[in-house]
Amino acid sequence: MAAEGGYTRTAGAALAQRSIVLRPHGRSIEAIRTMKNRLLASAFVLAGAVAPAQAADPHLARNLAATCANCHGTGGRSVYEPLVGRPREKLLSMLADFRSGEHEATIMHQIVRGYTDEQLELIATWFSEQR
Amino acid sequence: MNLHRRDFLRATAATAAALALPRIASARARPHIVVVGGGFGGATTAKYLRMWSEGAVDVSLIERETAFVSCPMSNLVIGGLKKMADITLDYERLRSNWGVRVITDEALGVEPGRRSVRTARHGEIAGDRLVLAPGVAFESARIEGLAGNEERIPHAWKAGPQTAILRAQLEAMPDGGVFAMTIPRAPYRCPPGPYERACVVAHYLSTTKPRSKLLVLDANEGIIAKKALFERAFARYGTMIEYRPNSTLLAVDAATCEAEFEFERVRADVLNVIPPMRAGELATRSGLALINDAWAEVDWLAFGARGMPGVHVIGDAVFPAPGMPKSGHMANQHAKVVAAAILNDLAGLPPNPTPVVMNTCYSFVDDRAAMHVASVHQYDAAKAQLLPVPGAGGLSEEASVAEGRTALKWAYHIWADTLE
Ligand SMILES: Cc1cc2nc3c(=O)[nH]c(=O)nc-3n(C[C@H](O)[C@H](O)[C@H](O)COP(=O)(O)OP(=O)(O)OC[C@H]3O[C@@H](n4cnc5c(N)ncnc54)[C@H](O)[C@@H]3O)c2cc1C
Repeated sequence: MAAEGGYTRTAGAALAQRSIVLRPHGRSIEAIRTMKNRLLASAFVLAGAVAPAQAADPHLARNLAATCANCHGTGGRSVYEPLVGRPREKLLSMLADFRSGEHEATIMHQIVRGYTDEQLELIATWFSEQR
Repeated sequence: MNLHRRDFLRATAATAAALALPRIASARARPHIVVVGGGFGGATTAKYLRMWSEGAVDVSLIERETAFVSCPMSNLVIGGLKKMADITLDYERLRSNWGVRVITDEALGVEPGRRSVRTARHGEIAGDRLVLAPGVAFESARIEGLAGNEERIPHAWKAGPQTAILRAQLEAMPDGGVFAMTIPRAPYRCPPGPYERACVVAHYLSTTKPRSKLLVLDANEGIIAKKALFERAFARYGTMIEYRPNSTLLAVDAATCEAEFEFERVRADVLNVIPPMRAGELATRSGLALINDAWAEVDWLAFGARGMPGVHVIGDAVFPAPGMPKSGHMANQHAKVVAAAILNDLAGLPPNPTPVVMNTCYSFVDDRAAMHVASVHQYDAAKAQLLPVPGAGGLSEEASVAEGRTALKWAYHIWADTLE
């Protein structure tokens, strides 16, 4: 059970490759904007800060995209299901097809429905801009 | 192939870190974040703090174990489908790819006033912010006769030596023997996990010891995750699996391998008791505010511990928001929210007001087929909570070999996202 140095990738890769017989809605954008502004405003009042309220967190797109990493790799750099550097329009049309059911999926049709259109656009743009 | 190393080199070669975090540069040269617990929550936090700050903050990760043994996929080891080596990883790449200072030591408690962590061998380690991700503690003392007998009656609910012990006991069990497992009342770590274990153990027994019996004694009123799917999966094993709800374990006898419930007494060849759980001992030792005297109370924008400024708690140890499972996937997602919130805070910004987390849990039902449950949780400002989005997420229609493959890829990805 003792792990040797450099074991990490081997363990993961081995698990995914051999094994077990294997190959490998929501809220309106307006409502979210209002909510954001209200929250930001109150945060600044509480902190007594003088900085002007922003529309959104400066790292919103990065943070949203990070929710995909568990299945698509850190920064979308999965060897199996990469998202990094893929064209924004392509990603958005795939997401739309998952949502409509046009693109059959085991799980993505359920996940995509948890994000707003605005969030999906931020995510697709972020991945498209990564190299 | 070594994608993360490339990532890191790119990050360090990018614009000066001071540009990204001006306040840090002026206030003090290098902020230091101390993370306790190198599981799915803590290890991910350490990596993302280094990655997102482009190396501008120092991160120390205090973990008592030298190896990372994954609970996800550990049921496959018990079922004889994987080896311990397949689920055993290390902290080397957190060091070499991301420059995390990994300290092998026991954290004894937090000194909130000094924002430091007392350790067994490294003295007191101070940080600008503390992140605690100690996972769960097992309340063996609540079951008479269990405390001190965990090697005879393993839980295997923290992957590691316990996993190997349970596997060995199952292998030694005679054909025609009884494997009994008990499930505590929710909330506990990994809601579908016990039922997955029942399936893969039944798979092993049906192929090697077909006259054996598997008793699943559940303190809950019924199967608490993927119910219809697991009922179908159990049915495939015919009369081998016997599922009994409303069975609260009161006592065990390690000498005779007996388990006592309110209305019955069960004798088994292998007794796998999953005890009730609470936040890891560190939460109690640190005097964190607990809900139900068990789980840490946090806010959902920054996972700040209630009443302890600068101290954050994530992962299994927190009192969950409604519909939020205690899973490795969720702990990894908590980590990203807390890393972003801490870096914002150091830069003089409020936490992201609209965090999102999501979860998928795959469960195997035999040696090849798996099924999932998924959910997406958005921050609800009015309720100040992360809540599941209605109409999103859901279950597999049925377990499939295709999802079995996806489940293994999921493990590969989350291990890499957490540790590489
Ligand atoms: C059988 C089983 C199957 C599972 N399957 C899945 C699955 O398929 N998908 C999924 O998402 N989740 C799964 N889970 C759940 C998952 O393992 C947990 O939810 C996850 O590990 C929680 O992460 P954490 O970081 O909160 O805690 P942990 O991963 O337990 O990490 C806590 C770490 O802190 C360390 N630590 C604790 N206290 C101290 C201290 N005082 N000093 C130093 N170090 C300390 C521990 O050694 C440990 O490494 C499964 C769990 C089990 C038991």
